[in-house]
Amino acid sequence: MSAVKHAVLSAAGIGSRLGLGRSKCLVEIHNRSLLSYHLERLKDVENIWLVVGYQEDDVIEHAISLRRDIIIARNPDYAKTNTLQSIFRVSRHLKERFLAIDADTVVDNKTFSTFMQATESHEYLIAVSDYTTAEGVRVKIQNDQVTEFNRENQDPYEWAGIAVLGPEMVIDKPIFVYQALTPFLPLPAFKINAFDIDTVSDLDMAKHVLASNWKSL
Amino acid sequence: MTTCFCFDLDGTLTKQELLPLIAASVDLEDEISVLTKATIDGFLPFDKSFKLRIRLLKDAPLKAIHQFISNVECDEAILRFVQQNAADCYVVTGNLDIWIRPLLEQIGVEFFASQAKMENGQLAGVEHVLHKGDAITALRQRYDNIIVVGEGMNDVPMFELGDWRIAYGGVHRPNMSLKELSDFVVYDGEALCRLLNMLS
Repeated sequence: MSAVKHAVLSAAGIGSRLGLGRSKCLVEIHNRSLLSYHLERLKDVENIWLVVGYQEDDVIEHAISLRRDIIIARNPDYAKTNTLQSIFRVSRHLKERFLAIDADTVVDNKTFSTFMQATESHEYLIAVSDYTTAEGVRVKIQNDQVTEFNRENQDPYEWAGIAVLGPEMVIDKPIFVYQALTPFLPLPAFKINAFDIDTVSDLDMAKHVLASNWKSL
Repeated sequence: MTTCFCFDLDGTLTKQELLPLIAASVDLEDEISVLTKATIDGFLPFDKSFKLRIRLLKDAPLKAIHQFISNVECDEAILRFVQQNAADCYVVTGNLDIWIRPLLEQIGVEFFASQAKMENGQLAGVEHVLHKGDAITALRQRYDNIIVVGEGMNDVPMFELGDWRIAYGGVHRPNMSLKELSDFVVYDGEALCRLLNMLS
């Protein structure tokens, strides 16, 4: 069993920049959905929460075919809210730390597994990646701590949309997750191989990266 | 904060629908299933359909019904939760009080149900069809956090008034209108109980 008891997967958004007309967690890379990759990686986590919104029936159907004991949290306001508010729909009921993951991320199993091992010695942990994307949020790191999030594309690491957080860090406000985390900095950073899929070029990169087993940048 | 938990009975706490079981005992399975389908499909309001179904089933011997119902399989995890939290758990069912009372007394849980009309010790019809919202209104005087769990169209009034609404798909897919009103959708009894503990 994992040291972190809860994983909250955010899959409510429309993903309009990708323009596929389907929820991004259902997008397939090498014939498997992003959600399927996530749930396999999280098989040792006791409670899996999946926040759904856009095309929720398709997402729910797929999710329960993969893991029947998943807890679906609905965000019917998905068109007007953001990831932070989706996470809040779950975190407001939690009394302990949890793993937050954007469901539109591709993640390297090997580095993710070392990240999860590191949660045994860190209460909170922010995943950062050197796989950078055009619209990603960059992270400044000093002494293995995240000290700043910014959008200036100067720092070599990107916020991966994956972190172990406390419920008190999540608020019901229309801001980005990294903005909500800023008052809590510095927070421990951990490097993994991951990036989120926002655009067609991100999706192409995901196909290449998975085909080469995370060797190509 | 005082919290209570309200559960639908047929297809939520029990793994089978009870009316078809009762219908089978008097060889009226097909007739009852047509009425049930017409209700689910929205052609016949629940109240009318229920009264009609009871009219068809009123000659079924009570003893045999109790026998059938006492053998019905419950979801083990939900049953355990209800028994461990009996003081604050309620079954809210449109089913008939005289049919389900022995099962729920055996479980040890309080309930809200439709009331049978009795004549000379025999079932003569329905005195009152439970509107599930009325149960929540009654409980509201005692509890400020009411968690509701259900799967069918007749759970909608309960969802309209509950604080946290869980559509349960352990037995069959939850009704779409009910799902639209829900905060959570769960398909597994153990996961449901973990969620209930976190909401209380």
